[in-house]
Parts: sequence; C-alpha cells; structure tokens
Amino acid sequence: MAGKGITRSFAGFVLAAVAAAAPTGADAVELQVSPRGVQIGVFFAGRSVELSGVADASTEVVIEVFGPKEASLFHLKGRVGPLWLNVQEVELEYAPHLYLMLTSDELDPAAALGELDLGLEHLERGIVVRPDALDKDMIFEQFLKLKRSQGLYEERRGAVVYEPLADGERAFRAELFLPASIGPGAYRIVTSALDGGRVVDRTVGDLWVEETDIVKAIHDLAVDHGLIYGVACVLIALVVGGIIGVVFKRVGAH
Amino acid sequence: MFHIYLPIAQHSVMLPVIVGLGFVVGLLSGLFGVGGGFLMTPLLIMIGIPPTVAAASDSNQIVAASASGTYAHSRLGNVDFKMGLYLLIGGVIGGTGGVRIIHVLRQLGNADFLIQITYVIMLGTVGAYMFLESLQSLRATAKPTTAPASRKESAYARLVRTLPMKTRFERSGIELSPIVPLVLGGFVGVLAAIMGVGGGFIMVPVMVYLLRMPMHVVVGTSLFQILFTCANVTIMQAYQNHTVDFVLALLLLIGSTVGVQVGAKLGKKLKADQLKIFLATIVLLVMLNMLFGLLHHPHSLLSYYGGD
Repeated sequence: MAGKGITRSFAGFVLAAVAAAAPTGADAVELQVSPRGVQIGVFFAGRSVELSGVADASTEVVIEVFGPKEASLFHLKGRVGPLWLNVQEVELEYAPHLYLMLTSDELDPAAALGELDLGLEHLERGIVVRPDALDKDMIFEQFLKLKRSQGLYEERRGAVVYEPLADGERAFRAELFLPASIGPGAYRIVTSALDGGRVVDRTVGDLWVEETDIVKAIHDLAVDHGLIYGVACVLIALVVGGIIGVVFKRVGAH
Repeated sequence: MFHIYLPIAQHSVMLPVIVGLGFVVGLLSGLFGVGGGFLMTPLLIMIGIPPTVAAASDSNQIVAASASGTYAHSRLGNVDFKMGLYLLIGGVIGGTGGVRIIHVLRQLGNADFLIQITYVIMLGTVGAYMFLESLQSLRATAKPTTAPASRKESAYARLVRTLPMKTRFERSGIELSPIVPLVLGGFVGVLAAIMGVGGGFIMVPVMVYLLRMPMHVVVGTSLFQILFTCANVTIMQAYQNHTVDFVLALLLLIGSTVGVQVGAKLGKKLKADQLKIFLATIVLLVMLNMLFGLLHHPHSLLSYYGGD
C-alpha cells in the first residue's frame, strides 16, 4: 500500500536527536526490551512489549518509541465549492510510521519538552514538509490528527511506573502495546532520564517487527507476481463459490 | 483470537465482522442480482481498509458470490446465457479500459475522488429512478412490471429498432440487435472497474428498463455476467495495481456465498416491485452516506496517498 509502504531504515533525525542530547554523566538509565522482536502473522491483533530498567531515583524517565520512516505521501483536502476534495499532494520526510511517548503520572507529556529534544514539538522540527510553501504547523497538526485516529501517535501518561530500589536508584516498568496497524520494520526505543529540567542520560533500544509465514508469502506474491496472484484469486473464488452452490443444492433437495 | 491480519491492506480486522458483512451483502446479491459492491466497498472503507484495496478485493469476492448465485439461478432456469454472453463481452472490454483509467488516475492522485463521485452520481440516479418507478407501479397494483412508456423510452425504442442484426433471446422472450447489450455491457464494465463493483445495481435497471427483460431472468443473467466482469477486473487490478487482498476477499466470500444462496430462496417469496423498491432504498441510503462524506468537514485534511 502506498500509504503504509514503509522502508526499513530508521528515521535519521532520531539518531541525530540522540547524538545532540549528550548525556552528562555516568549511566543514569538502563533499558531492557522483551521480546526484542514482534512477528506479524495471520492472527496478529497488536502485541504488548515489556519495557523495564533502572534509573537514578532523582530522575524522571521518558520513553519514546519511533517506528520506521514512512513513504509519506499524502493528499491534502481542501474545499472546492461545497465539496471537500483532494486538492494537493503533500510529502512528509522523516516522519516515523509510529510515535509513542510513555511517561509516569508525575510528568505531563503535553509539557514543554521540545527544548529537551523530546515530544511532538521536537518531532515536528525533524520533519520536512514539501512543497516548502505550505504552512508546516498546519500540515503537522493535520498529520497528528490522522495518526492519532489510527492509534499510531500517542502520548500515554501514567504508562511508566516506578518501584524503589536501594543505592539511590529506582526500577521503572512500562507495557508498550503496539497496535494492529503497525507495519514491518525496525523500531527504536529511546529512553531519556530527566533531572532538574534537563536530560542527564539517554539510552536507545531496538525492536524488530516483521511479517511472517503466509502473510509475507501473500504480500510477496501479490507484489512480485501480480498476474499469477490475480488468476489464483479468481480460481479460488470460483471453486469456493461452486462448492457453496453445490452444498446448498444438496441441502435444498432435502 | 478473532483478528485476521490483511497482508495487502496491512490492517487487522475482526473475523466475524468481515464474514457477517459478506453474508449481508451476499443476501442482497441473491435477492436482487447485484454484486453488492456498491454497498460493500464503502463499508470496508468505513472500517479502515484503504479505498483502492477495498474496491479491488471486493471484485474478487464478487466472483465467488456471483458464481454461487449463477449456479442457484440457472437451476431455476433464470439465466439468459445468450444475453449474458453479449453483456459480458462488452463488460470485459469496458472493464479493461476502466482499469487503465484508474491506473492513470492513481498516478495523478484523482482515483479515489473519481470512485466517490461516480458512486454518488450513479447511486443517486439509479436509486431515484428505481424508487419512483417502483412506487408508481406498486400504487397501480394491477399493472405488471414492465418498462415505463415514457417519451424517453419511445425515443430509445426507436433507436433500438433501427439497429441491424436482430436476434431472438428465447429465455428473455425478446428480439433485438446484439449491439445493444454489447454497448450497455461496455458501459457497465467501465463503471465496474472504476467503482470496484460488479455493476449489478446499474445492470439490473438496464436489463429491466432498457432491455425489457423479465425480472426473474434479470437477476440470474445479471449475476452470470457480473461473474466474468469481476473476474477480469480482479486479474487486472492484481496485475497492474497490486491492490487485491486475497485474505480480505476470502473472508468476505465465505459469508457472501452463503448469503447469496439464502437470498435466492427468499427472492422467490417477494414480488418484483417489492424487490425493486427495497433495492432502490438501499442504493439511495448508500448514496446519501457517500455524499455526506464529501460535504462534511473531514477529521483530518490529510489522507494517505491512494486513500480517500
């Protein structure tokens, strides 16, 4: 699908952001991801991933999940007479397929985190909108509405919970639910430790999402061998339709 | 546990919802001789399937439903194979042209707008005409269901009389030039490709009002030609646009092939005018829903390329 066609490369800005926010001291946060990979099979309906780790007790943990970069071409609707029609094509570069931000109850995701290279404000800065003449803020606002309606961009306050530990540390834990509409590719989990209004440490984890077995086989066949796939679809439909017809004839005869 | 992931749509759906949707639309198909795509495609779009995948996959499931329905009606002697053959020759030619049109328009970014606007115009025109005609016919209860003797009909009849190579269609009890079903079949074929429907809701009124076939033969013959038209559209969409999601089609056809058989049996218990006015009402409701979507401020001004 054009809209969901995603590449397997990471959004470059994520790496740039991580590099820019240089941690100031020794490791203040550690992250574990379990499982490290998610498989999309026939019965895939979304999947939970456990995120856990240890952070300095004085810090506040923010977890961000970035999906792979999308082939992000969109239609922009506008009013033409009484109708809302597609009036222009818009391209968004470096917009991740999925963006989730997990925080504890103690931190409001809507707070001004942009200066710390966190949150949606920071995300917008990394996205390029084409044509350049378009109002970027307006496009990003509409982009967020679209993504949020799909459950692909969310800020989940209260998702991170803490448990006290000894030696000035505390454990944190979060359940990351990946919605059914995620696509395959490499996902990056960035965990930031905040203290005194600044980022004191940041760690990055990977999560792989891939199609498996028959899902991958059907997708590959449809894309690589369209004619064979189309003929097979018709033949199977004819066989099923015929079988149902014969079954009903026999049922009707009794 | 009831979720199924669709590999082409890249979307997860609830199994009972899709199979149930297939059954309901199949029921209408068996009752009225329509493929049901005019109803199915918008419903699939509503549950989050990308429009181009919804339309193409629906064509695939219509193949199964119409095969099942044709079989049921042929046993009852309700299929005019000769008329159906002419219609489908026109339909295949028209369908092939329609797929090319969609392919080009997708590149231009207008494909889905064309699908929607074609829906609104065709559903509105066909639904309103069938509704008013059936209402008049029901009020004049003694009058049998035939084509209305309007001025337009007379002009059309004169045109048809002038066409050469007249041939007899025994099952329908009519005599006319094969050019008529060829041209009409081609017209419906173009629409079938653009809208991702079998064209039955257009073909049925065409057969009743323009070809003057008896209603009971119309239903079976319509399904017969829809079968081949949709098979052609499915192959073309899979080959050129890669938008046929077979998993989605399979789930739909499991429900629709059963529904069409039930519909064929139910149809025998209803009068022709009752069938037509019921179909016209559904057609108009679907049209109003589509129209609302075009007039109402969208939730987001952005939509995925290839989407609505």
